[in-house]
Order: sequence, then structure tokens, then C-alpha cells
Amino acid sequence: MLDKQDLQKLYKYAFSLVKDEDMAYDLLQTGIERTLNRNMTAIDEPIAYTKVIMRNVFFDEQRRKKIVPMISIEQDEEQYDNEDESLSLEDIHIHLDDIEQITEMLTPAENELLYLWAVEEYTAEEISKLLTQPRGTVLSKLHRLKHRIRQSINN
Amino acid sequence: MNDESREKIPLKKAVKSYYSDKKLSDGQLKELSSLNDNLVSANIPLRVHKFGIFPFSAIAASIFIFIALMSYNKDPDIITAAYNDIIHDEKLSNGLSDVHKNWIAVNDIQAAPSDYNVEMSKFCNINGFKTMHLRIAGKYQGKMNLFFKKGTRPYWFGKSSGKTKDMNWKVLESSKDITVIVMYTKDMRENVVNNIIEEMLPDLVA
Repeated sequence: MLDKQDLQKLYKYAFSLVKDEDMAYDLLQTGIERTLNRNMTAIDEPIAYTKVIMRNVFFDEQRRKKIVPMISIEQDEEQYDNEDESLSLEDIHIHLDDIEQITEMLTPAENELLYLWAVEEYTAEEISKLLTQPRGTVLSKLHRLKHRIRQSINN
Repeated sequence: MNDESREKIPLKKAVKSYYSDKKLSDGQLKELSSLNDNLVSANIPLRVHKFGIFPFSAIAASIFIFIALMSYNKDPDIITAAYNDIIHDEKLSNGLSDVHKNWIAVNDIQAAPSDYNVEMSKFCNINGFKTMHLRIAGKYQGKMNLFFKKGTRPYWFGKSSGKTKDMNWKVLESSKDITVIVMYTKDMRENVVNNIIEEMLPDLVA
């Protein structure tokens, strides 16, 4: 049902959340187990479904441990409609050996967003479907991500 | 550092490059493919994550569990987490995979005695600690679960052995800087459990 390429892709996604190889493997194992325990005929996109399972498991655990950073409602609901501006992450150029430091500085949710945008090349619309958040919220998160990365580069 | 690595490149290219070497090993791929095949063919019954569907039931259950725990002689959180993990993985039967066999060897842990079948192996996050979980079947009856953790025992105020629900538990340390949480069903004899642990961790600290 999930071929080797799918598994590799899902592993990278898990890594973007947990930033640890063994934990990414564990999270992927849990995701697959839960996906395959469902009625498969009811799942149209097993890869997307497994991603949702993994992110729910991960963020539930983070919330349980109370380590998800608080974001104010006003800040989170700030809407951006200008996709060109938010996706101007394309404009950022960095040194290759600075990327690890940047990912260390970002939160799991920001790393997930960066991974989806850069590696999976998801559009804001596709990200909003996966995260079940309005497109405007995703654009605003991309906008904030750009600022965070710029800030990290300047520091 | 050469000049090429100091050249600036687009962020997207840098992120792709960073993730390009994050790959499952051949052993991990094999294990996940076999998990995939086993679960599909075994047609394990549906397990619904009820907390996402019935939030009020989840809240009520949480309150009930909280009151029950407060009135009970409380086990350390790590034991409760280990117990929950055992229940979560009770249908998983992947044996001892090469990945976990390798982890055991690297950490100076001996193999389980050959008379006892390792039914399941998995890396687990137990209350924030990274552990390697093994489930071993008794020769005739019972199950024991071992959670190996690198480093010393996490601190808590209270006992280091006891009973939780249908299982006995104890926490042991070896001089090779490994802590093991042992949980076994009540139908498994304690001397058998001790023999298995002593064989796997001959350097137990008294």
C-alpha cells in the first residue's frame, strides 16, 4: 500500500517535526500502524492521511507536555491574501552550512511549514488543506516564517 | 570549509539539500515494509482514536482518571506511560528487527535467552525519554516488557518497584550506563524474569 518511496517521503516529513532520527522513525511507525488499522477503502490518499496522523500524534504529545509555544489569537488570525508576498521566501539566499542552525532555531510547526514549502513544494492551498487551516492563516504563517529566517540570518 | 560551501544559494535549494540525506536505512525500510504487509494481511480490527471524535467524553474520562489517580497510591509517571505504551503496542508483533538488534549490541546489552521469544521491538518515547521497547513471551505463559534507556534512572520520589494494574514493575540500572524498566504480567514467575534480565544485563547495579 505504501511503497518505499512513500515511506522515505513520510520519514522526511516526520523528521521535519521531531528533528531526531530515532524519534522520526518511531513517529512514522506509529503513523503507519494507525493508518493501516483503518478501513483502507475509506482512505483516498494514504500518504496525506498518514501525515495528518503523525502531526496529530506529535502535536498532541507536545500539548500534553505543554511545550507548544503560545501564539496570540490576534497574531494567529492575522490574514494575508497576497500570496506573492508571503511566498517571497524564494527571495531568501543563505549559506548551505547555515541551514542546520536555522532549522534548530525554528519551532516544530515552522520547520514543518518550511519542509512542506521547500521539499514537498506545496502551495499555500495544499498546506492549508493538510493543516486544516484557512489559506490566509497559512499565508500569514509563511510571512512570519520569512521574517524569522531573515532574523536568524542577520543574527 | 571551501569557497563553494560559503556561496549563498536559494533557501529552497538549501532546505532540499538538508533533507536529502534524511533517509530510512535499508533495515528500517525492510521493517516498515514488513509491518505494512503484516497489518494489511492480519486485518487488525479498527482502532478509533475516540478523543478526537468525542471531546466531551475525553474531558470526562480525563477528570475521572485524574480523581482515580489522586486517590490511588500513585505510580511514577514513567511507569504509567510505559504501561500505556505496552497496551498501545500489544497487537504489534514484528519480532526483533535488525535495527533494534544493532541498538542492543551497540549499547552492550546481551541477547535474550534463546528459549524466550522476542515478540516485538520498537523505539518509544516514554514520558519524554527515548527508550527501546522489547516484549518477550514467557516459555509457557506470561509476557514481560523491557524499556531500555541510556543513562541513569530518572529521579522520582518513591518506590522503584511495585504493582500497576495487572503488571508488576521494577526499575534497574547497569554499570554500563543503561536503565531498564521491567514490567511483567502476574502469571510470569519472578525468578524467570530475574534470570532473563541478569542474562541480558550482567552488570546490574545492586
